[in-house]
Amino acid sequence: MSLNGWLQISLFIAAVLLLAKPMGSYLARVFERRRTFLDPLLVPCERLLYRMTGIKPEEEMRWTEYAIAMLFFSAATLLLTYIVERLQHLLPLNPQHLPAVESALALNTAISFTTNTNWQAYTPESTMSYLTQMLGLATHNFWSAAVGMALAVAFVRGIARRETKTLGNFWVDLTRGTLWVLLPISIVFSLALASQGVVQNFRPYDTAKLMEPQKVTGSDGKTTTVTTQTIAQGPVASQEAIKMLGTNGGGFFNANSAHPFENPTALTNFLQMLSIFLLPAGLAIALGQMVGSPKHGWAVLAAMVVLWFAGTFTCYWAESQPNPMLHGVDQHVSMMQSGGNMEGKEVRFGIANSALFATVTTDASCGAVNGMHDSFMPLGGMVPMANILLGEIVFGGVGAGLYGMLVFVVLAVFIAGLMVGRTPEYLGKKIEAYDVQMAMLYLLIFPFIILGFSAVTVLMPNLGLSSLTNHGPHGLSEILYAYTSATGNNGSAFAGLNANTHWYNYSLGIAMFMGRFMMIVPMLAIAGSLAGKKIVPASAGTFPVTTPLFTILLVSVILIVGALTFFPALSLGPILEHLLLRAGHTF
Amino acid sequence: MTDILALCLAIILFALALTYVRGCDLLRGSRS
Repeated sequence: MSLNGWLQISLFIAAVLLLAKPMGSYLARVFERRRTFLDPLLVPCERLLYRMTGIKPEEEMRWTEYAIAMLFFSAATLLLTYIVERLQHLLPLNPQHLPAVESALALNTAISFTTNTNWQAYTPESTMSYLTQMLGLATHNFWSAAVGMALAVAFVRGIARRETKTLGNFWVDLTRGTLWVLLPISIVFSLALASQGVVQNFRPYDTAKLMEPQKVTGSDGKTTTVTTQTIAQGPVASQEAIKMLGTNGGGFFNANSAHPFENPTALTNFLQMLSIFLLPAGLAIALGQMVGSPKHGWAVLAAMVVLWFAGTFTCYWAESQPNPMLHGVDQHVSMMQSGGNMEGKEVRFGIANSALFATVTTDASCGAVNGMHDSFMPLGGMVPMANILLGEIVFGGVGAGLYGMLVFVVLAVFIAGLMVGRTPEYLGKKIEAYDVQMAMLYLLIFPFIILGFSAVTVLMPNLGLSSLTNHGPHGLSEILYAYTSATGNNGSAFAGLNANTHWYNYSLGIAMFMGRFMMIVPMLAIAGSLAGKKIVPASAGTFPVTTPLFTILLVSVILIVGALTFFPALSLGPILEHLLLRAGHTF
Repeated sequence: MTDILALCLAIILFALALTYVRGCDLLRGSRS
């Protein structure tokens, strides 16, 4: 680890914290339908959209109506993406004449982008046309993020409101999140990215002549000489902005944010990481403002920062260590080299910014990568996996991070109530049996899907294990990471696993679907239940949710629940691999 | 044929999700 690296990491978190309050205040104004500086431009657009679609913005929804509207919207947009993928060979903006996407892969991808996962079991530049990337995929980057924000706001309303059955109007929240938040920031961000060299065009791919012809041996054993390289193009800047801002993560190119056309400079790298945390940090502050307790928002944000720091420190430390298998090789930091483990990392980002990016992208449910997690040291690679396994509540996905964290808050308050022998209260609302049942359902579904699918997959040599390129604990990590990433709606890949098979396309598709919707429903049920409750005045026995003690309790509950659930699986994967690496074994 | 299979799977998943909404709502009803 170096001072320079830590200065860059400090600059990043300082920027996040500086932007959190203005972003949070703006988000609160948008979702409380208060006046903003964009109203003169956007209110007419909003009214037009409601008139065209027949939406009555004053109509409020119960939690079940809110959930059903969200499910129907997701089903309709999933179908749109599936159709576009299957018909792309007949549609315009396909200069490479790419064929239709195979049906299992098309379904997997449609579920993936609908659920904000952006798992990609394909190479985008050789599979998806420009139209598919824009109409089928980038649209979901807006919609799925707007859905996440709408759901988080519905939960916050459930806490803030009293003795009511409704949580707001899903269509209004979806529209306002898209028009007031995602679109304007994405436009500005796209221009910033384009100014740094991120490409934006509809040109056919370029072909460059290699300075030195390369001999390549194919899987059939035949050696051919390659003299040219295809350089993919496309409308990248416009997609890159929302990919990061909406914590989507699906790359325009296979190499994702490691590709120089997606993430060319240190500045774009910094802005991309910042944009991942921008809305989740703002939403935590918006929570405080909307429930009338700004300090509570800061206490929740503090818990996120503590967990972010723990992940960043561990990952940066692990990646800075010399590889014990490289005996006699100088691996120390110097003016001439980064030191530590540079395999799978871009030289222009180095170890600090690769470790930070990996932590940030998995704290949030983004899934973009600027280095290959598969090539991280075992403990360094464990950090991204552990971040997702904790439920992606460390900042988390846009909206999804906040509502996931609030479920943990309900659990933390419940445990605090048990410890002092009082009925637990959260901001004046009594937490009762139904709320805790729904919270436990939310928390138990997650490991059930991940561990269930992983266990079934490792027991099937032909369908599951045949896709692995590494065996032993590293192979287990690859399978575990895939189901963790899918269920957590993260979408990053550990690599080393050929996931474009029928088994993985269908099973990961189901995991993504369940990881999104089977967790949203109990969360909304808690929100609906809380909205109907009376406010109980605070007393001497009320557990305050604005203090450092609350932050410590919240962090402890998150770590204990995460550690208890997944420690056995992690010990068989990355932890065992770390110990065996020390003993001289690699996989 | 593969399209029908894929779309059937999607319909089944959404139908299960809608049933799940109803189930969670009924659970609250049974407690109140």
